[in-house]
Amino acid sequence: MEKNRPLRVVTACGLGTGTALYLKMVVEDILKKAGIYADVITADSSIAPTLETDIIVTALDLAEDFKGRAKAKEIVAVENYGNRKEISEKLLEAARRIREE
Amino acid sequence: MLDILEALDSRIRIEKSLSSWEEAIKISGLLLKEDNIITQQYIEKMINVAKQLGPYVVIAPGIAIPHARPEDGAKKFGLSLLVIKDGVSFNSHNDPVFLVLSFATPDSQSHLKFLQQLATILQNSTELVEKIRNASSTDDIINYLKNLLSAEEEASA
Repeated sequence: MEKNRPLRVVTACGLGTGTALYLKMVVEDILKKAGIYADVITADSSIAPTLETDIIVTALDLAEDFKGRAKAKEIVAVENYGNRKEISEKLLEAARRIREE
Repeated sequence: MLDILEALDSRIRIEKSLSSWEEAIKISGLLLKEDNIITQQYIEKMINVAKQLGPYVVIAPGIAIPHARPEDGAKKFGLSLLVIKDGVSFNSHNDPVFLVLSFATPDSQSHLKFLQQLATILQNSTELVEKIRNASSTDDIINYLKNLLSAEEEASA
């Protein structure tokens, strides 16, 4: 990916108001600690797959539904929202692949 | 902005077992409706959301956070907690669900502090579920949450 542009991340849930917002806070915290400059927005499940973004972070159930039709380069499927390690590992791995493009 | 305990007020109910996840959402929704936080329509919407979009509201092992949109009948911000001692299936990979934390928010901001606190306490979700599930009264649950949240606040201060 071109240098100096922020990593674009969309956190998604069914309605865009609850778990998406929750994930946005967690994702921003993880990326900040990793020193990754990023632009994180929330979206509901009807909008999220249509967005041209780097990474979508969402629940496992919704990720299955997005696969194959999402315009994002990477989809991070979260199983346990309380597991910061799981979210962090999957997210940073996806961010690394985007960077290497 | 209200935190979890303020938003929960005294809306906690403990049940031994329930027949379905729909019943769980109904009961936890009624706790909110009785306090004039939501309309009846909001309860139906919470169930519809889970039917249409799947069990993604089961965000961690044993914990569901059903909700609908502000315009679906959320009059103000509030939470309710339903504890199901034997657990109930939401058809999720995080089944069985023991804690149903339904919430309503009239806008996109009022519940931010709740979500932040939730993100903190969910980092130890296994213990959270076990402690609340095995509590003998609603007072026990409130005291447990009080201690947990004040310990977290001290840790982050």
